[in-house]
Amino acid sequence: MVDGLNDSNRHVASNADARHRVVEDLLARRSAGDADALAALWREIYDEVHRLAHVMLSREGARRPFDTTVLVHELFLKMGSSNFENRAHLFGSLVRMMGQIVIDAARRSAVERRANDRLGRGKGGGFSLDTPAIGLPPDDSGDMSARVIETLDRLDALAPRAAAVAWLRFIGGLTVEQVARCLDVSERTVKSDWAFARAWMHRELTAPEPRADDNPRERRHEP
Amino acid sequence: MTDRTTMEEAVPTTADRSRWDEIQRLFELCRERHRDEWHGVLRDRCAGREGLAFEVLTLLVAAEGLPPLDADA
Repeated sequence: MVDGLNDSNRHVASNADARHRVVEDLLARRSAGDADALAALWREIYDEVHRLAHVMLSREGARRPFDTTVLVHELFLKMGSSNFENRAHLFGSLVRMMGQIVIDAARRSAVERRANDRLGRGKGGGFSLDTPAIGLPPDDSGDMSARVIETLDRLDALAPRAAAVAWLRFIGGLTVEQVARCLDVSERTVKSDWAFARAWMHRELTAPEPRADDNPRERRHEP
Repeated sequence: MTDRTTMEEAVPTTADRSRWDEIQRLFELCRERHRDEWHGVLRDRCAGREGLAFEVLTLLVAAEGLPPLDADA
């Protein structure tokens, strides 16, 4: 063993390096206008993208809005016109696009749920989120998930980065490290944003409904 | 706390965003300290802006009831 690596580990590392170089070369060819580079790039990264999509959807279990392959294909359609500077940028962008596709599906699901509720059609589809992370009971029915998504939309208007972190943690199921890579910020920033987003969401989702004579807007602006 | 009754039409202004940036900064500043120190920090930094201090304090209290951050990192 030399430098803490045995032959097997060294072989794996060298394979990974070689794959990284191939991806970097294909990105460079694509930037230079090579029309065949996108297809070759996609073949090269397909397995890894599929694994990422599987992780992102796995927490949804039977409630997932589509299967992994559909998500991967949606992603391919979405990335077609995008340009990527390097491998890190490529994967950061892909994870963000995947999150956006899943978020859009969650939003549609929430809208359908509300419509079904109004029309008395039963619960229908829905998203189950990690509600215990924000101090709420497990969301087995998906009822709370629609409210969580609405709350996240409101947070997005006030503190967009904290909301983005919460989206990726909640919907994408990404770790702090993955979110940091995805948003190109430090893990400390992710933890800080996540703490703030969790507290804000918990407060908003557990606060009593305002009384008719209560005007919170007056509390929001100091003299 | 956010105004739910006018949520639909309320578009955050730059001033709203700045205010929320400050709320988040103060929240982070206090979160790293023991709760006995919160009032001192907020008194010093929010003089004459009790609404701001109240907003931060309610978020700090909300955060106290949540699972540890590292539990799901």
